[in-house]
Amino acid sequence: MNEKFDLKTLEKKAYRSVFNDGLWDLFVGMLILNLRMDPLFDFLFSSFGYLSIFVIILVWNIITLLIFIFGKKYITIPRVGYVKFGPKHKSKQLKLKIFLIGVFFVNLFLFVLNLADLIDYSQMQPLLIALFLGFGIFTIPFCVIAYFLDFTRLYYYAFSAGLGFFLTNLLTPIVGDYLDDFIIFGVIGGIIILIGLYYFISFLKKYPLSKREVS
Amino acid sequence: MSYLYVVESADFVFLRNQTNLTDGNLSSHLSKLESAGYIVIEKRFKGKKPQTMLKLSKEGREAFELYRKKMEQVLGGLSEK
Repeated sequence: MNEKFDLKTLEKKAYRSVFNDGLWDLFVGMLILNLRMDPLFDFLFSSFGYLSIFVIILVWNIITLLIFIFGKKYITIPRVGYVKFGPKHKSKQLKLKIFLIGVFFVNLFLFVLNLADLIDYSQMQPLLIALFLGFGIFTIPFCVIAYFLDFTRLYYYAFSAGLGFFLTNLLTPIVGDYLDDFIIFGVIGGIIILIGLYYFISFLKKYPLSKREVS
Repeated sequence: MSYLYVVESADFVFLRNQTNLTDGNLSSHLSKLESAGYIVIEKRFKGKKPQTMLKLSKEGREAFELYRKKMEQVLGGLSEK
């Protein structure tokens, strides 16, 4: 009887059904894959100049975002239905937006510092740099996003990607300076994409398109 | 009603997926709740297909809260011994 009247569980179940489509997993997987794909792009397109690599990375990110947005609009919502959550979730979403804007400006600031050679990496231990990059730039922000979204799998992805920076350090002496990132982030991103595809296919099987009603 | 209580509004497809009811069964429940003034049903079209938006009315929300409190009292009064 208690289960039937546990409204919090009911709300969570309804809210989490939004993540069963695997699109978030595909989105994060493709972002991670892109994180260190520059060696491959460099190898394939370096003859076209450095700008072409930048354009390809930008196009990749735009495609990733478009897959996510159009996937939600034309695949998820028509199948799972349309729902507007209450003020508690709206407040969480607002906090998440403020946090994301903050992360964007912090990253922009660090990017400018890096571009201007104002960060002296020679004074830092390689493992410390990996800690700074992995957990500071990836794991912590993504864990905060996972908390606000109430998306449990994102915690695992955040830690995997954060750990990736350490693992590349271990792999560098074996495979070299370019392939290390490519292998580690290729494997992590690839696994997340496979998980996303599994959820996506299960979702399509579980929720066929409604013939009578649309969302 | 409990699903509509925990969200602001939802459409027919969402509610059908969450409750696992058939179209006919859910429609029948919704019609009765609408007659009682507990839910607001808004029908509109998206392209050529109909979309039914559902929302708990103020009376519906109050009635559900009262029902919940009463059920809690009843269940709270039941001892395992």
